[in-house]
Amino acid sequence: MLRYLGHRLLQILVLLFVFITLTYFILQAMPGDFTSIYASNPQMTPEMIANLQARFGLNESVWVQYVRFLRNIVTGDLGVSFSEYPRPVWDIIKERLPRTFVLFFSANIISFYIGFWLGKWSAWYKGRAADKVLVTGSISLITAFYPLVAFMALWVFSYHLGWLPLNNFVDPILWSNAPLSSMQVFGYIIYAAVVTTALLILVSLLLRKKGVAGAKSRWIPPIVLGLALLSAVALFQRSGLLIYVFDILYHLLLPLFVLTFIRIGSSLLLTRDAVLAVTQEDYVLAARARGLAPAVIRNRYLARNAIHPVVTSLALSLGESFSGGVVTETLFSWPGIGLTLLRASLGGDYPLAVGAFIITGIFLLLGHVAADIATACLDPRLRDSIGR
Amino acid sequence: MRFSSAIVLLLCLLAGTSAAAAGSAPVQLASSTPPVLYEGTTLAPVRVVADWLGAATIYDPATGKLDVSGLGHTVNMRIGVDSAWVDGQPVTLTVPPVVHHGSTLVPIRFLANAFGASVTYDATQRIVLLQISEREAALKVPPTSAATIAELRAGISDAKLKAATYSKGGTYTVGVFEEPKSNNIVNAMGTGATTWTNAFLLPQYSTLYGNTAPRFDYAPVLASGDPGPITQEGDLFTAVVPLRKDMHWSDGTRFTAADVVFTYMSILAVGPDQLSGYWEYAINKDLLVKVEALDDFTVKFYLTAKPGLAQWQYGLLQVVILPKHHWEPVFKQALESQDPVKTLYAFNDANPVTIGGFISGRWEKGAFFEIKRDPTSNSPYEAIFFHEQGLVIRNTKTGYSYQSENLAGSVVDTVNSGPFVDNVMYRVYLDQNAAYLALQKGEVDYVLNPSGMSKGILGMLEKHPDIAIVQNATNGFRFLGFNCDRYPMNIKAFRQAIATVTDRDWLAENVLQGVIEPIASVVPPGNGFWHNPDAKVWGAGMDEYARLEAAVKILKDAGFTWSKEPEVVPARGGYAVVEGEGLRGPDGRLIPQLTILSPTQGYDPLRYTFALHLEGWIRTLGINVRTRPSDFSLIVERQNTRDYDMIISGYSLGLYPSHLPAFFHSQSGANRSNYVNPTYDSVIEAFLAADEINAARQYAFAAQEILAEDVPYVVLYVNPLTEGYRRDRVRYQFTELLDGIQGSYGMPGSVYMLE
Amino acid sequence: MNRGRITRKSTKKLHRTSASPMREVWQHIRASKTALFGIGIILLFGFCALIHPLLMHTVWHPRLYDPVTGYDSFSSWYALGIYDAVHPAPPSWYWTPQFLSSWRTGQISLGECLAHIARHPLGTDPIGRDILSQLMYSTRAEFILGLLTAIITVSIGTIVGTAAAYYAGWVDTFFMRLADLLMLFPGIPFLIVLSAMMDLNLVNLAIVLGILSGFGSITIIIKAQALAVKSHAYVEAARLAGGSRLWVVRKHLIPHVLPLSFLYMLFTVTAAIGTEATLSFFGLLNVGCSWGLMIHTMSASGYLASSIRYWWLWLPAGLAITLFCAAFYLIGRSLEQVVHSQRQEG
Repeated sequence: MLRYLGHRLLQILVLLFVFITLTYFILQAMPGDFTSIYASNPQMTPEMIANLQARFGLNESVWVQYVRFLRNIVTGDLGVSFSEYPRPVWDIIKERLPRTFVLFFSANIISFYIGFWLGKWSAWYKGRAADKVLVTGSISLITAFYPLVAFMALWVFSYHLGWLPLNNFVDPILWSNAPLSSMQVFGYIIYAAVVTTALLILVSLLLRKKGVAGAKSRWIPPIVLGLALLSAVALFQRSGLLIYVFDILYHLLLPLFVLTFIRIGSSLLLTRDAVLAVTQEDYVLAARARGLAPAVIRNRYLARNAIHPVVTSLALSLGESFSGGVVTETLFSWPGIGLTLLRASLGGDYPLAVGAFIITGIFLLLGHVAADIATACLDPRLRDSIGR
Repeated sequence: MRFSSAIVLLLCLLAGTSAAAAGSAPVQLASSTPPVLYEGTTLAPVRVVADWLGAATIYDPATGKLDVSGLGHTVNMRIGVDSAWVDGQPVTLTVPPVVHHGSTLVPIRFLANAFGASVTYDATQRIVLLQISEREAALKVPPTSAATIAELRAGISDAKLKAATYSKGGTYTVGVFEEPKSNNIVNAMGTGATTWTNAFLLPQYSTLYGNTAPRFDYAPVLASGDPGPITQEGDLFTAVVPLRKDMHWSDGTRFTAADVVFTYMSILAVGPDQLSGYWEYAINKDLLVKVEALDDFTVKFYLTAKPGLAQWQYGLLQVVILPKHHWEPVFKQALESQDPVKTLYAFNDANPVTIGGFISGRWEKGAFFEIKRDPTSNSPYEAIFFHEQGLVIRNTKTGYSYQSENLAGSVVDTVNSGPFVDNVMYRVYLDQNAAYLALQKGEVDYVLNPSGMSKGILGMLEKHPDIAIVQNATNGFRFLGFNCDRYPMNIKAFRQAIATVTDRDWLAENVLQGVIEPIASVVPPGNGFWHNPDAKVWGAGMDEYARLEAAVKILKDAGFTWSKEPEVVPARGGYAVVEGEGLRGPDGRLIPQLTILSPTQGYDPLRYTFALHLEGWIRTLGINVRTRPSDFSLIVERQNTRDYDMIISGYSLGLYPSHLPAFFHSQSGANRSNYVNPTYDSVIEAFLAADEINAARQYAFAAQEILAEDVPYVVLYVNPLTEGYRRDRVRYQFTELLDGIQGSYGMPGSVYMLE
Repeated sequence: MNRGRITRKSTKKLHRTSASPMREVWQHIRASKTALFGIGIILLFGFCALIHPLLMHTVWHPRLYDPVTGYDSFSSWYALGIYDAVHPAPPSWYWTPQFLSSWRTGQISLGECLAHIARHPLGTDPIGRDILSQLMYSTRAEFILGLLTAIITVSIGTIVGTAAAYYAGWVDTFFMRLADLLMLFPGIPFLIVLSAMMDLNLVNLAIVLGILSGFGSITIIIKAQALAVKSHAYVEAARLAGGSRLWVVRKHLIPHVLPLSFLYMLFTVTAAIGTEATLSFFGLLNVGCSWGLMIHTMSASGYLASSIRYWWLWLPAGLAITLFCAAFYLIGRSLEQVVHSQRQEG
């Protein structure tokens, strides 16, 4: 296993290097550069524009710039952004990454979870009305035009009904006097989530080890989850942060809901297909012949074996969730990595663009690795193929 | 005789009694202070009118609040404030309530109408007749003397000034589309200049001189008088600038000449060409040698040459002044570091020292930023009085006053300097639709949108009763540019013919349905001072057919020929156009295929639509032209490398028409159309050298005439700027100005929150 | 207890005797209702695409109905006496409700009413272009885009996948890493960057999308299937019989992989149309007219916030996108059973 991980890590580094180089040269190949926007401003004479280019190193050849850039990367310095000169690129990414992560990661997990349950259920009742409705719904969600759907949701819930806020991730009036920045609060939220997840995993592993089965194994994890959340809430309250955390969560609701809603379709269909495929297997027929309860068949035989493609897909999309999504970020005024990447690329801000590509690329590749490992864990048949 | 007079007397008595019997004779209202007819509005003492109506009056001299209620209506007014509330609805008054000779005068018509009474004015008898239900009252208005008018005028100005300080404060919320790039004013004046950074930082600082909205007259801000004349001292040219003695920074330090000297000399030390942006534009290190303090409140500029308007009044003198005690250590550290500019720009100015009346509040990255009112500032006690010519600035607290040299005529407009709000909160909406929904919902009071709102949004907001829509002209234009180096664009007649067939008015009205304003001049009409309204417009007033015929004539006269000449022929229902083919130049060369580069439909549907129709019009002249929609950065690149035939692009401009030399002088680096005309060059050089604004104007007019004749650019249109704000929340002192409310970043310094 | 329909209905498909998996696919399509529904929709769209030029030449005058440069200013409507200064035309360019009410109140006759409605059955967009005309014209473009992308993707995917499976070794590793690399590029932002670099019209977009997805995940999936087939005895037998590698690949691997390819071709169409719609929505494509661009026009003119009222500006285009994609997707789904069962076989 460790050798395999080592291999993959090496491959990741090589890939990353190729990726960065490609991205850098593609960005440089775009017509114009960062100073192009000044072209339509009569106050900026060509001499002034040339001076500006010299400051950003844009007047040197592409290779020279590239080498300089590589040297910085190797020492861990992502450079300084052009558009927010001279703010370090890492500073900008550090500010936007937690926001992106909280929204997209949660949306992915929740939508997969719901999609998985619904898909399982839908496959079991294949052909019935409920199944047809779910499948049709999923297809329309997949093929629906996301910007329109998102805007409709915004209009209905924020404007028309007024239940949820129209913009942003914080309420200005509340945060005007906040003791700390939103970036820090996002950090705390992530921290709390990570701790809770780790706890849950630990508990599940312990239960599995101890061989506890039946009703107890079903109830203990939710109880642990509840306790963890309660203690998190108490801790926040003690430090006076609770109201700020709640504010962020309140603003999270609408984009989270829309994102989750859109993605349920694909995970539902995926699960349903996987379950149906497994249903054809001989051992399922055997289990039915033995007279096992449908619930048992569903959960122990079908779901467990069908979970493989779902988990793979989940791992991949979790890796993607660090890249954000431009439409979501724009419509819900949730500035994240996706928008940063796009604006930097189009605006010729090479350091920021490549920096953002690197960070998102790393997470994407890690997602791939996670997917491969999960595959191996779940399907013993494929364990040897890890040495691919 | 006695009998007839007796009859007359009897008749009169009868008439009188019958009139009395008919009903109420109008009650003659009397008051110690007689009513006044002031600039078309009749003012009367409020108690007199209210008492007769049967309403109760409550007046609080401390706050100037005046409330009149009765008969089921309530009117809330305030001395010196020209907006009032009638039954909870905001109403604008032509003349605010004012205290005159011990009585509070209010506009009669407004007050009476608010309570349901009707008002008629009998001009011959000078009597105001009030009528409500069955009752009538009459008020005699004596002729108003000039002295009374003058007294009233002064009283109203004072009242307005005083009222300013009564303002409740409150938070003015503005929706914006991006956050600022930096909280550091040195950065903002350099590479970090964007609309949003300016909105955040510019209200906090001031310059020596500025352009005062809404008329954009040139006036001193931190200076206390006009800049001294440029005199020659040996090799150098010098000018003396007096400074205000009554200004202080937000931390209490007095503003002195040391700050001015520090600002200019430090920038020179770092190098304006390194700092880029506005620093580089305004401070030319080959021109400015040094700035010296003659005493605490006078500075002297030393220049290497006699400067023109662009370099002096509109350049050097409009530089933001930095507080020396706050920035000196920063500059010192920067100059000692390896990259001074980078260190300077990286400085995090979280607790700035400001003078503009505002001071930075919280900036929550990605979400919102705010500026707070500086309570120690004397700015709210200041007002600008625009006369017919020139202006007067007065500060009632410090006693400062300034008056333009060419002052003439009476006051036409008054602007109170604020701030009158406690807080300005800028909320970032990344999506325009969300921002305008927020406006509708009331989450913001105004949306700061440099492009103005689109037609669809306008349609949505128009219907909202609480949203006021304001339309102004933008300072900029969109145009079809020719590459005057290439054949056949280098032939003047060719360009003139194309200018003639460009029927921008028809396109604007019919196809684009009024979304744009068609213009033909490189100085937009909205820039009233510099625009030459008499410059030639090709094809003005002609329809499609007349334009074609005129264009054909222009080409023919220049020696062009066709294999098939375009013509207008009578057809069923009017006329039809027969397209020409095979245009040949005067030298017999066939016109090659030409390309018009334009933005794509997705990037700018308006320019794209123009491009399509231009292609059609030019084709009728027998020219083989096609439109090539391209990405915008490609257009910019082609413009820079002068590699195009015709191009559709646009510019935003400043108030001072620096683009006249920049775009069209043959030696200018920004002359992307390769236009060369020695006559124009000499006119423009005279324009640049002029040191008096009216002389410069004459040259600018002459320049526009030459450009109109030569048409290196066929100017197409300008986008009108449509904006919206919540009229139930805020009041602006003026809303009609070039570049609209957004041009002054939402006017945080002069906006009032309504109560 | 048999609430779930886990039957072995499809068992008979598992015992495949024919050597032509594609024919089996075709049989399955004919039998499945969803697939037929999908095909029906596609035929409908095809009909629209074909009939548009006909309409433009006969019934519709280009000046009014050209999807790109046509316009219908409603100043002419004042001449008809329906609207006047007191009751101005709504700025909504869709007259059917007004015409209907004018007819009901007796201002115009039924014939006139129908004639007016027929003039712009689906209304016009904010610049005055007829929506129905735009819708039909775009269908042609969407077909080209979708099918071209699909063909390129599948060709590349099939060839590369089978090659990787059969030749193994460094060929395999290289293409797998290439797939990884391509999957690294975030789709939409990368396309946006490309659109700034090159002239991204429909054909270019199809090529770019085809290449990007062709070397991407489809390669991995095809390769998996090809691997499965490769292990079959008859493939070994063919090699032993003296067939060259290429011949084996062509004759045995590819036909068995084709149904899967075909399946992905259908999904690729969906993805391509969706991507084009999103890119057009951002105004980045250089196309004359497409469904995404129609929605973009609405959004750029500021009508997004009034979507409910001005529904004809987005609903026809949005529905077209959904139906078109759904049609291909439905056919794909009905095939999945067959293809997956074939997969299981291998």
